[in-house]
Amino acid sequence: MRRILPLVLLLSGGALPAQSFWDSQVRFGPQFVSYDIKAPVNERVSQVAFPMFVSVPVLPALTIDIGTAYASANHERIAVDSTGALVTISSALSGLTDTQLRAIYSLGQDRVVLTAGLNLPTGSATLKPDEFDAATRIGSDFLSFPVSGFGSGFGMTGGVAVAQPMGTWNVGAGASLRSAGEYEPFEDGSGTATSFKPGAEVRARIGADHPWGTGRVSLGLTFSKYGDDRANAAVYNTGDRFIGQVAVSNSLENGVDYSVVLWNLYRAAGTLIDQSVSPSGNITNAMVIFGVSAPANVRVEPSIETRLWSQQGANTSFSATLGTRLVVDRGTWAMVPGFGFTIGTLDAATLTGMRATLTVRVGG
Amino acid sequence: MRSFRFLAIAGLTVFAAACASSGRLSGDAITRLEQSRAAQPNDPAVARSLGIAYYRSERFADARPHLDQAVRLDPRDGTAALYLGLTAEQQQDLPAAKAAYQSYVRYGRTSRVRRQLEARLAALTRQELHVAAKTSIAQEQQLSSQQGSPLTVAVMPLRFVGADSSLQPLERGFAELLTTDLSQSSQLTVVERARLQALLDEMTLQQSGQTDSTTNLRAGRIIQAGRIVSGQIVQDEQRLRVDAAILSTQSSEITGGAASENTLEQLFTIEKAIVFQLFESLGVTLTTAERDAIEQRPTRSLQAFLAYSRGLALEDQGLYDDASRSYQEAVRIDPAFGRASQKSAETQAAAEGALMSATSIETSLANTTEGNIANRSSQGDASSGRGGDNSAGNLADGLNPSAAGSSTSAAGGGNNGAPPNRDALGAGTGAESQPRTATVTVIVKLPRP
Repeated sequence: MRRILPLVLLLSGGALPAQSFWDSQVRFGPQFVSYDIKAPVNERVSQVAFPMFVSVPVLPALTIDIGTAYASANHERIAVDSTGALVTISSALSGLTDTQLRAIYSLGQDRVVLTAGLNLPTGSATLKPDEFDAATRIGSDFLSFPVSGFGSGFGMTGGVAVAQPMGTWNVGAGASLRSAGEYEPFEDGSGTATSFKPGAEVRARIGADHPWGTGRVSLGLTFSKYGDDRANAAVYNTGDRFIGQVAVSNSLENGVDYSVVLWNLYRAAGTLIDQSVSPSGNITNAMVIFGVSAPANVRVEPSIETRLWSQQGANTSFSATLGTRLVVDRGTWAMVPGFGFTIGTLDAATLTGMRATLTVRVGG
Repeated sequence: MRSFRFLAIAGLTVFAAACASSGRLSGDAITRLEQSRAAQPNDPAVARSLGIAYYRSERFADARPHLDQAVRLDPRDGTAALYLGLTAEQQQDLPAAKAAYQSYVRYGRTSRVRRQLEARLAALTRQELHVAAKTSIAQEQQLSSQQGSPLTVAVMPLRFVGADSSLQPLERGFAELLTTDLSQSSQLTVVERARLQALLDEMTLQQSGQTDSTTNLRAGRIIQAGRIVSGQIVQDEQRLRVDAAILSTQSSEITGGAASENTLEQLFTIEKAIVFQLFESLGVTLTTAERDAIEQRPTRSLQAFLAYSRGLALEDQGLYDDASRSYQEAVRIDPAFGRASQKSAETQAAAEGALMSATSIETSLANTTEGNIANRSSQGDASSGRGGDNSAGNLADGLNPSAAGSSTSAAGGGNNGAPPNRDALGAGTGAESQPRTATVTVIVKLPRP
């Protein structure tokens, strides 16, 4: 069970508490993701990303981590020009992303955790017209890219979380506040830049989990409330978000582990920069993962993930990703190669995609 | 905003709840794990958790088979190996404890515990020698009736006779030199000096390192040596004379011997002369490579070797800190004295390991992945808990996520399939929505100041 549980949740993103400086770890994971969206959209978008993450326990209760990535995104769209001929319009963007620096301070054996973070603007935040399509397409909520944005200016986050066993349940709650600075996201052909100031975000999470066979069942709810965004003189609000999460993990009698992970993201209606209505939307994601022991202490973890996206005024989109990964974990290092293929529909277009990843951990 | 207020109140309520030790064994935890065990008898995680729960309730005999099985099913499970080692120690099964700790040192994920166990292993190695010695003495009658091979040789501490007591540690130092050099021959099996000394200690002959031939022969028989080497070092002002005799443990007769005399400064010349005579008496023909290896000297400094010999005596008495200091002194005098440097590190580790307790090792697991596994076991939960619970750390991670941390989490035991975070700009431009060719048009319409 222990190998697949990491896949399960939910409430984690990988910040493992650690004891001393010698438990520092470095993780990196070159990844390639590509989607081909057929007619009538006729787009192909791909990304090569090299994320890097370093976690250093500077004190027994204080861990500092830093993460960044180098990424290259490409977007091609086939369109009809004024003469009626088919032309390919390309957009590309490469470079370093923003760097996120976090401090996590743990009190009482992970019962109370204070977290603070800085978003350092090391990425290319200002997009030129020929970069726009590539940069914005990777930010899609429906498509899944390892790097969803290159730069978003300076930002700060502070939060607190508490957890407490109650009988056979663990329950927890937390809240955070994120404030972002002003930056210039666009520059038009004449060199005129748009000034943008994202609204503050208040995020609250509650969760509970309970042992279930050799695994557990976990429930979580996240609510994000956003302040008004400001782009030049325009003030708008894109709508709050609710995320519900359920995960169950257990093992079968033949020693095969499994996990079922469900999450649902609901985005309330709001407004866009141009003051038009941003319709409400909903994404439901379901993932089933199995864990099977293979020779040489390697784990094979096949999975299927489906995603359903509905939005007011648009067709429902759907995708299914069949994937597998091999987990080679040798304690002080681990290597996880994986690949997956996606099929589905995006609005009225057929969607295909593929991804290949190789994540590596050293230390920890 | 009302929703947020509700959640904040809920959070504060949880925060105000009484704190309990997450490592405490809950009442029905073992029952739950036993039920899981019955349902999944071959699951290593269940076996591990039940073993840990039994260990924490001090039911060591019950814990052992489950932890044995957990390690057998998943040899790379550091947590299971650690608790197997702790359990085996409680049962005085030192070889099993050492094997389990070695497994943890190789596969365990908590660096502080790895370092602690390395030290503990050094202490256990020495403790194991004394346990083995006691066992051997208890079985003396049986062991003595079995004839040792004449090619198995034990070198006893030599007896020092002289006015300069600072030379007395040579009793053990010289014996170690002989043991090391005799071991270079592939034809001989030479009993490790520390093992032999532990046996002599148990035979209460440690005082002043003095031995007599009767006790030496008895020890030689117990340790299954066919022949023993014993002798004396006689100091006469600035000269040393060494006499060594080879005795058959079977017949108690002297079958050979060696003698050499020189100035004190030529101690190593004396030792080389003795060892080559012993080889001849033992009927061993050396190869050129073996002879070259024997010609090597551990140090050129007599003072460094004396400090090293003092270290051996202190180490034999279990005074590891003092022994380490003597070895360090030897290294200070001769930085090229590799064996002294190695012994210094080993005895330093043994000193730390001897003071270590199971509690201190478990304390080092606090706030670690492996510690969380152990704590969950106490709560009747067989899951690993890596990223799978509502610990405050995981909640905080979700409140303040790291994009790079998430996208590389597969190698860290996590999942990168989490819901997307809002991209403020993407949300504002509609880029989070389904792609439409009109998207660029929207940008052109951006309002200007």
